[in-house]
Formats: sequence, C-alpha cells, structure tokens
Amino acid sequence: MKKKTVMDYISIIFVVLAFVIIYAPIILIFMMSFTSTYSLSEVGEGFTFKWYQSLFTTNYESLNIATKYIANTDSLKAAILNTFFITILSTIISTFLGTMFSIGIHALNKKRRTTLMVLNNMPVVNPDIVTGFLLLLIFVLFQTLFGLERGWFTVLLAHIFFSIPYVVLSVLPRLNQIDPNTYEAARDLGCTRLGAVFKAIIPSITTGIVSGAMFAFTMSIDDFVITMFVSGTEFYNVSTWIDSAMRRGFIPKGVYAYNVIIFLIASAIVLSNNYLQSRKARKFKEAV
Amino acid sequence: MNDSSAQVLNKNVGRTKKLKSTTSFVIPYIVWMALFLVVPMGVLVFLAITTYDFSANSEVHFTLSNWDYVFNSSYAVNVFWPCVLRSFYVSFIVTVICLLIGYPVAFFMTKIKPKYRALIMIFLSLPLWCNQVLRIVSWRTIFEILGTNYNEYYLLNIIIAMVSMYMPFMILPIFTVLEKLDYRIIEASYDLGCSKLQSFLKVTLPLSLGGIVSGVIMTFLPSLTSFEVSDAISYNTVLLLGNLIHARFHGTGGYNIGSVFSIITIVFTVVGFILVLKVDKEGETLI
Amino acid sequence: MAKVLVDLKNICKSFDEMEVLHDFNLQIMENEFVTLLGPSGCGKTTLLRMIGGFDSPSSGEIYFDGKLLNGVEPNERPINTVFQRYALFPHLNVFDNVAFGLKIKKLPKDEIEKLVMDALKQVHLEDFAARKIDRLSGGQQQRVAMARAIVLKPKLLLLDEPLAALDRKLRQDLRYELKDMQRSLGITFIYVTHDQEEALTMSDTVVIMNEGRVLQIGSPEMIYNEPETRFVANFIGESNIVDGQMIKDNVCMFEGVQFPCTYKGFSKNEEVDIVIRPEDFLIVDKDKSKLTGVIDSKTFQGSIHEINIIDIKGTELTVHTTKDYPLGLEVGLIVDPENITVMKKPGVNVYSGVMEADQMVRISDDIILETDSELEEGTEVVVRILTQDVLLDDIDESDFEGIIQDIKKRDMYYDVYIKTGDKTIVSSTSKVHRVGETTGIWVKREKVIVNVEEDVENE
Repeated sequence: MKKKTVMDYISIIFVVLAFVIIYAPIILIFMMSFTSTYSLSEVGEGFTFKWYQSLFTTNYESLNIATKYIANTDSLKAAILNTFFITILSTIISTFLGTMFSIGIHALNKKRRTTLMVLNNMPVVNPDIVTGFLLLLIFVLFQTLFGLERGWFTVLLAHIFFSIPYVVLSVLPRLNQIDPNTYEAARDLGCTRLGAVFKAIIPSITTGIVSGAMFAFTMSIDDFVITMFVSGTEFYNVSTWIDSAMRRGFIPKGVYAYNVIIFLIASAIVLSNNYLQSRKARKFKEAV
Repeated sequence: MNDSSAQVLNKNVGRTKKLKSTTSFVIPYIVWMALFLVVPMGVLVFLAITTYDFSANSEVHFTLSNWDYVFNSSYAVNVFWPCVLRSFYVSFIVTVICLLIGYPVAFFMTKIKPKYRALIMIFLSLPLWCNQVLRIVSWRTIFEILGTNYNEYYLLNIIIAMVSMYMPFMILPIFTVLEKLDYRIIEASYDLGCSKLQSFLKVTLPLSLGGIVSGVIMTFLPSLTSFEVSDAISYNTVLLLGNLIHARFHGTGGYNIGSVFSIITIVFTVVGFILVLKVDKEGETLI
Repeated sequence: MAKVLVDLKNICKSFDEMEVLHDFNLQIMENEFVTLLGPSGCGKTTLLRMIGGFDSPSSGEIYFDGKLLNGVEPNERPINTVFQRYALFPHLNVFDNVAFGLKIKKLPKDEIEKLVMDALKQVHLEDFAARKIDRLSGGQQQRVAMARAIVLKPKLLLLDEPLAALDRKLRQDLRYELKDMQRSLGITFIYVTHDQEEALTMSDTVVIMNEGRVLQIGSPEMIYNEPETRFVANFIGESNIVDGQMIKDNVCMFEGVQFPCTYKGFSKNEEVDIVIRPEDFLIVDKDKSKLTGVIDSKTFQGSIHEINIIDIKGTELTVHTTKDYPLGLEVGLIVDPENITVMKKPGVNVYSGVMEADQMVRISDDIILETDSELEEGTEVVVRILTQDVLLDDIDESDFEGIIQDIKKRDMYYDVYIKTGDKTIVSSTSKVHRVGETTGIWVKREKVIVNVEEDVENE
C-alpha cells in the first residue's frame, strides 16, 4: 500500500467538503420525512412513517391542515401522477425522436453536422428561464392563432423540446464508435432503408439510447422553471406544486417522503447497474 | 473565359454525392427547432421593439420605449443596474467557489481506482433525483435552524445554496476532460525535467482548459439567471436578473419588458456558448 | 468464351468539386478474380461502393449480367460485400450475424440453420456459432464477414481491403484461403486493395488505378514484367526507372551505355523511360561491363542484400543480391535483354505563351487558360499540359473548342489531335471520337504547368 501524502489528505478534505455542500439539503429532506412535527427546533424528533403512509392513503389529519392552506396531500398525489405522466411520455417520445435525429445528423458531412450541433446545443446552454420564456411566447402565439390553451399538452411539448438535445448528445458519440459501414452492411444483406436503421443501427447503439433516455427522464422529472412558464394555471407537476405550496407558506410533509422514495429508487437502480457493469467487465477481463 | 470556367465549376457542383438516405431524418428536426427556437426568438425581438400586448391584441406600435425604460429611467438606476451588478457578483463568487472546490475533486477522481471513480460520479449525480425546489427550501430550513436567515446573511445564503446546486456541473466536465488526458503526456513532462507542480501548471492545467471553460459556463449562466434560489431563501427580497424576468412574466409591465430582459440574457448566453464552442465543437462536455 | 458479368461504361464520379473517377471503363468476366489496385484516394473504394449500390455514379452506366444496375437499391442487387472493418453487427452473435440476410429473406428456420452452419463450416468457424462478435480475433471476424456474405449465394462478391486490419502472417495465410474459396464457390470476386503483394498473388486480373483512371489492366505477370507507365512500375514492386533513348529497334541506351532489348517500333532516338527491377541486375567485375558504379550503401533484408550503387553520373541504382559486397567497391552491372522494360514517356503538349492579368496565360488568340502560376503580367513562359489532362467535353462547358484532325489508337486510350486556330493540342482519352468532329476542350487550372524558359519550339 502506497503511503498517503499531504496532497492525498488535502484532496480527501476537498471531496468531503464538496459532498457536505451537495448533500446537506438531502440529509435534511431525509430527516424531515421521518419526523412528525413541523417545528424547526424539533426537526430531529418524533420518528414516524406517517408521511409515507399519507402518500398511499388519505390522511385526514393532513386534509385538515390542507383545507387551511389549500396545498394538501391529495393535490400532491395529483402532482405526482402528472409528473409521471409527462416524464414517461416525454422520455419515450424524445428518446425516439432524438435517436432518429442523431442518425440523420451522423450521416451529414462535417460542416453541416457542426451547424446542426450548434442548433442542437442552443437549448442545452440557454438558461432555463430563457428557454421557458421563449416556449411561453410560442405557446401564447399558438393560443392567439389556434386557441391552444396551456396545460398538460404544452408542458409535454416543452419537455420533449428540452429533452431531445440531451438524447442527441448521448447517442451521437455512440454512433461515432460503431463501424461506419453498419448501415451499408444491412442494406447489402437485404434490408430496406428503414429496415437497416431499425435492425442494424439502433440495436448497435442501445447503450447510447439508454443513457439518452436516462437523461431525458432526469431532466423531465425534476424540471421546474420551464414547466412553470408553460403550464398555465390548471396544470402542475411536483416542482411547481412545491413552489406554490412554498409561496403559501406551508409545505405538506408528504412531499419529503415522496422525494426520499424517488431518491432511494434511483440510487438502487443506478448502483445495482454499476455493480452489474463492473462485474461484467471483470468477467470479461478474466475470459480474455 | 471566366464565364466558361464558372460553368465548369457549376457542372461539378451538379455532380455532388447523392445524400445518404438517413440524412433526411434531420429535416423534421430542423423544422422542429425552427418552430420552437427560431420563431419565438422572432416574437421576442418583435415584443421588445413594440408595445403589442397578446392578451389585449392591441395595435402594433414600433418603439424603443421598452429599452429606454430598462436602461434609461429611474427604474434603471434604482432597480435594473443594481440588480445586474448583484447578479454578476453572486454568480462570479459561486463560479469561483465551485471551481476552487470542483477542480481538486475532479483531479482527485482521476487518481483513484476506476471502481471508486464510477461511485463518486454516481454520488455526484444522484442529488439530481431530489427535487431542486425542495432542495432550495431545505437550505432555507437549514439556515433557519442555524438562525442565520435574515437580511445581512441573505446574499451569503443564496451563494451557498447555489454552490450546492451547481457544483456537480463544474466537476463533471472537468473530470471528463481530465480522464481522457493521456497519462503518458504527464510522464513525458516529468521526463523532460518538470517538477510535479510545474507539470501540473504547464501540462495538466492547459490541457484541461476545455473542461474548465465548459464547467465555468455551466455554473455561471444558471446562477446568473436563477430566480428560484433568491426567491425562496430571501422571501423574494433579494432581486437578481432572473427575478426581473420572472416578475414580468407574472404581470407588471408584461412581456415587452420581459423580452428586453430575455434578449440581454441571451446575449450573455451567446458569449458563453461561443466560448464553449471554441473548446468543444460537438458539445461532448455539455452532458 | 467467358460471359461478361459486370460492365462499367464511362463512369464519372465527383464529390463536391473533387473528381474521383474519370470516364472509367471496365469489363469483368464471370468467375474472375479481379483486383482493383491503387494508392488510397485513387477511387477504387468509390467504384466498389457504386457496384454495391451505396453510391451512384455522377454519369455512366453499370451493367450486371446484361441488365442496367443504376438506381437499383443495394438490397435488391444480387451482390454482397465484405466491408473494410467487416461491419459486423455487435449486438448479434456469430450465428445471428451470418443468419441476418437469410432472416430478411424470411426463409424457414431449419433452412436458415442449415445454410448458416454450412457457411460457418466453409470458413472453419462451426464451433464459434454462439460466440459474441467482440470475443473474436481479427482473423475470425474476417471469416464471419465472409460467411455472412457468401451464405446469400451472390453472383458477385465485393471485398474492400478485407485483410488490411490483420497482421502480416495471418494476411498471408488468408490470401490462399480466399483464393481457394473463390475457386470452390465459383463466385466472381472484385477485390480492392492497396497492397501489391496481395493483388499479385491472388488475382486473375489486376486493374491498376490512379487518380480515378485505369492505368493498366492485365494478368499479375504482365503487370509486373511489363509496366506501361512510370507509376505502375513504381507502384508494383521496387524499380529502377531511368531516362533513356531507343537508338533503334532492339537497342536502347541509358547512362551513356547501349543495351540490347526486346522493344521495337519507336522512332529513332526517341526519349523513353527504362525500367529495371533490382533483382534483374547482376553485379560483375567492373571491367566486364560498360555500366559501372560504386557501392554506396547496403542493407541486409533477411533473404537478400539491398545494395545502392552510385553510377558515375550520379544516378542511384538499387540492386538486390544474395551475395554481400564491401562498401566503396567499384563494380559493373549487366542485365538480360528480356529484363529491360521500355516505356513511352507520357505525352505532353508544349507551347510558348505570355502571362496575362489575373493568373491567366495566353497561348494563342484562341487559347487563354487559367493557371495557378502567379507570374507577372507580360512574362514570357513555357506552358506544358500532359495529354491525359486535356479533357474533351460539350462545347458550351469548355474553355475553348477545336476540330479533331486525327486519332491514333494507343494501348489503353486514343490520342486525339485537335486543331484550334493555328495550334494543335493532343488529348489522351478513352472515349471514342470521330475525325472532323468539333469538340469542347478544358483543362483544370492546376494541370496547366507554367515555367519561365527560353528557346522552346512548338511541338
């Protein structure tokens, strides 16, 4: 074992510092989800699962508070369902479209590809508030022209819009790695144009597509700013729901429980995936 | 003579390669991007130079009064300029802190076993699964528990919360670049007589500049335009650039002034974007 | 007589403004093993892609088995390809890769299994059916690519540098396997490579290409022993190429020494290129030959010594010998008459001219050409244009026009003599023209070579 130098200790201090700053609010969210009171001074006291139960049952106590503050667990449940509806749909659609667009962009010559990538990366670099405002303007224009009201549909369109560039950025590097003649080889063996895309190209870039879908999912489930701009007054997802609850001065604790659940599920998926990958890599190494 | 050689050239242009059939897939993307990016930009410019109001469907008057109001009025002196200065101050500090902590962390990550590297990467991105609004609210709760959430501390609290939010966006692009760095280059620099420090300053640092630029932009721009952090933590008393746009969207003064603010923000973004493009043509460090 | 399987007629191909193939003509017989050989960028892969249907020619026709192939989709052509880096599908195992085309054809499952296993047996991979592609060595991947293509029983197999990614030893073994496979399957092979050894050992016919043109077509022996141009001589193996003259029939001269040779039909004292392979020189005592020189450097190359000899006039000649000689020794060189190859010099049009403004050069009142030269206006210059660079085309798309006076048939092309005003210009072309025809003429600006020189007669 190598002896640790001063530099190593300094590095470890920086890593710990970074993680403390990043994880402080998450630790608090965990604590809040397990304690019964709303009082700040007793934040760590009164261990309970009731906020978790409240997500799956109708909790009359929280309903009582809810009538007082409007924000309640039932409306939170609606917000959660809305979030999943938008996130799942927009992930599926933007992954499909983004993959097809990437295949198209990949086939372009270098100059055109660079131009299109500038267009693609614009929404990625644009601050959310600007993207949100721009989308709001186009939807207001749609409302004036075609009478399209803002609601779940405009939110879905907006989420697809900001997800596609991330899918493209995930899929393109994978396309650059596969054999440049993959499409031609499939055509050569009898595939039609679309057949070659679906039977040869797409199956060889699945890892890129999966990571693109992961990105689209993460971006969509957590989106606040853009959703707030384009959702109108009737539709809300978890983020805009928390925001309006916060403005009313009261945040039902069920939402902390919900976030802990999502966080734990995500951690379990990502970590087990990482474990499987590294085991596969190790096996591969042993085999070779 | 010149005419005929021009024709020869044209003839050759006519013989260009038939486009690969999959290139046609980009056509809907261009239409889509035009509809959701280019058209609204046009509307934005239109609103910024008129007094047109969508909800009232008013008459169109071209005017520079929106710009005059933002840059050249008591509003400008009392609200706009202080707000811009404050925003730049906050995002500058946030970016510097993120870089000072983030670079060593990214550097450290390249030194450890790939197994632990992957774990640190995962733990850096996991917080994204926790709702961002709730994380900001939790910071407010933390400051309230500490008893430091009042006027004099608002700015500091905002900065801390932003550092917490945007730190991963600084670490990840720097790490991406450092990880790709060929370790033999570093060894070559030792071989040529560099000390560890010299090698870092003269080889590693310049070669990781691409990641630094991406990281700085990915931290600076969001903190410059964020409104939710200052909104939640200071109970909407500390105004930043984002808050100005946000307020226009909700009412007072409407979309026209909001468009002016947006154009100003877009200018900042374009400058940042050009910087990123200079170091990373296809945007590999953006994700 | 063998049947023509592939007939390429006047194929032209340009990408953007780069011309990759220029008026390309080639016939390929049934059951032939044809190799397209040339340096990278000579257009050989583009030609292969056009036969496969992945690119279409800018103009010209491709016939397959008597039927026009232009516009036919690649999946509808009875042709299969082995790609350069094989383009195996990484998501499928060996069996599924080979079965891919059969599944597209929707053959019954048991038939697919039989055909795939047969094909795998042919490439000695029957035990690897369940292997993943990334667990195969380069040579095995190459075999899978072969199996995947031949399982569809194409009439024509296209191979794009299939051995380029493998190491030397493996490459040599696979050459014989490929040749055997072609014989036993009775499939026509079109093989693309830049490796002359591969081309010479495997092919029935070698087509040497450079800059989008055919330079020479022939059997490997013919190509090696009788290169027709400097380029071919250089590209196929090592060669000494020196300037020489044909004194009369069967006698040539180089380095001031006369040698008997087997060439006739040149004009008296015609300037020619003389080609002698390094292994064809014999080193003798200095007084036993008129051609003498000093050994300047040598390298041992395993089975032979490569010796560089500096001739008295400063020309460097390379000799391969199995015997070692000391450096600095003065020796004589002899060469068998059959081993001397005499090549015509490429045709060149030479004119005197005057530079005009904007990088134009005036040759006569009718001929003013663009050039890359930046000489000052009014400079007297000599203009050289190789006959192969004079392109004939429609009148309205050309630099100037003229009337065809005479046409002389050469081996691979025609020399067309065209009169424009008081000048005659010669064009070497493979297209058929008629005497008396008016034709447009154009020359690419980079092919107009301008030098300051004096005392040049109009050729």
